[in-house]
Amino acid sequence: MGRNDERLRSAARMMRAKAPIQFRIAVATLFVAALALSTLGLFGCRVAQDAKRQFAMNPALHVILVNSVSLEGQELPRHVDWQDRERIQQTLDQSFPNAGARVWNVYQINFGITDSEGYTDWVESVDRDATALLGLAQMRNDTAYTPSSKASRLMLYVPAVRQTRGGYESDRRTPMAFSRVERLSRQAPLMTLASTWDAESMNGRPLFVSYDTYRTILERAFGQPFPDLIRALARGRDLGIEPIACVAVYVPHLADVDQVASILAAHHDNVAYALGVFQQLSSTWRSGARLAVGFIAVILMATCLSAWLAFRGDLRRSRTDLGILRHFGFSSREVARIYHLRFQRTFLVCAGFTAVYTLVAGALLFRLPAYACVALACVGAGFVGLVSMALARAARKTAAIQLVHLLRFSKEME
Amino acid sequence: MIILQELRKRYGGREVLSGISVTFQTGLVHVITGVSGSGKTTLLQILAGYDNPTSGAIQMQKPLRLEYAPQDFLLFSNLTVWQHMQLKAAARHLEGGWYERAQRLLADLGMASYARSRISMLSGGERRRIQLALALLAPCDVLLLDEPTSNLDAMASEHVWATLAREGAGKTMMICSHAPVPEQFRLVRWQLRGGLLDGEK
Repeated sequence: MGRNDERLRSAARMMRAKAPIQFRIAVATLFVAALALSTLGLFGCRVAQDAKRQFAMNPALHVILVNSVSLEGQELPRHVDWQDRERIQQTLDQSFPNAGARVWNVYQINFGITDSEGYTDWVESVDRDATALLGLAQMRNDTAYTPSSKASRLMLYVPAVRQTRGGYESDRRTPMAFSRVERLSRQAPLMTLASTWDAESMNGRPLFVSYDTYRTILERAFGQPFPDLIRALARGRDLGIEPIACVAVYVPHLADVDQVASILAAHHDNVAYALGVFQQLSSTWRSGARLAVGFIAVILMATCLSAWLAFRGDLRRSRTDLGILRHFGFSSREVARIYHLRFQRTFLVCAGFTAVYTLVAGALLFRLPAYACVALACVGAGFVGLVSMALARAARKTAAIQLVHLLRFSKEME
Repeated sequence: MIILQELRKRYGGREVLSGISVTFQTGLVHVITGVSGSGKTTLLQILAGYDNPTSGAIQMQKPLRLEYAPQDFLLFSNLTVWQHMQLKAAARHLEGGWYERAQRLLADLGMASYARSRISMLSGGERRRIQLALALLAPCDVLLLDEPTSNLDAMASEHVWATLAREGAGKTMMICSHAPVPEQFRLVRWQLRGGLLDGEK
């Protein structure tokens, strides 16, 4: 068997020396097709990865903000208050329990508090279990969180609010020290969802504190225990503040976000959510993406087809050579094997080159994870292998043609 | 014996072979003559198994090893004479000994000095002799030779007939030739006319 194979290999080596321009063009086309397939695959993976990172994995897209509630018979909507979080949670638990939506308050102190850096801070906070909205695992009571501060510690001068006949005034401030200042990521869900939380000027900036610190600030400002303040607000007493900035609804599954938003809207809650904005844009993107994918697929198919046709063309032109080999005494099976051995090395080199290119470009240029590079390298090499197998099959069929036709002796063909 | 039974070959509306029924005795040299286009080459191609008859059959008493040297050159222009010999040896599974035999055949046909020459560098007569050397390299029972001395001058033709007389001794040969075949062979002459093969007395 080994001796027989060596006999055919030796014949293939002689045939390899006879490489017409068509064969060289076919080889070049195969390399281009393999590289195009690999590059487009890498590019597609990169786009998919980016889309996954920026879209599907983006926590901001899972959040719906409820800012106000439109009441029947009233022209102007009312701002969300202390009762709304519980109401919204109940609504969602009843209407769409499988969504597993979680509802949190975003708190504010809607008067400015000056600090040791000379800023006027708009103090904000979130519920204890909602620190993920700020991109944090937890919040410390001794820490101030801002998107921009360079200071390592901070002093807040909390005004002592006094009720007068004309309203509220403050002429005394209580210092409140923060031993740490941490920067908030501008990619945190709340930062990306509302520009006000990211807005900063020489006059003011948002400053987030833990829920407990927020309570302490309010207690110091109004000189009352926090539960008393909440009870007063619940009774409708005007303290000059609206402590709830908005209600944030977190929906674990992206596919449920739209439905949850619809349910809230049906209950007169005015919602704002990033996914909705994306979806308005995405209709344009989707049609554009479809066009691009279609275009790429056509180019890819054309490139692969041209590689295949180039080899078919070479095989057609090699018919007489195959016929001469059979005339010499090789069987049609042996002739097909000789033709296959002639291009086998070229295909192996092409497959290896494609795999190495995919691995290197994928890792260094497209920065894809190793598993994606390896998978694409296998696809690229597999494509080359597929063309090789198809060509070997075509060679077997051609070599089996009756000798008189293969050698173009037939008068029927003349 | 090779028996042809009602052998017919038709190309479109033209019948080239019109029901040939003859018996070729083995060990003899059968010379087939006929005008151009009478079907001599077609008959050899069918006998060699390169083409199928439209109808009829060929019967052989036992499986015979055939070698066919066609009128057209079936050679690779970029390969050398010796590479052709190697290919032939590989195709026919020739083991040790073929090397010396190939050298002797080339020498007999006056081609020994051309072993390293590419076919593209050879003349028609030289290619004709290479084709004959290839047909004679492997052991066979039947030699089918189509115009074996075309393109050759008188001297080269003599070399060819002498080599064929030596190498073809005891073999069945079927020769289609416009040129006269020397009487040194045990000849059986056939005339292909009107699609039928007639034996000549």
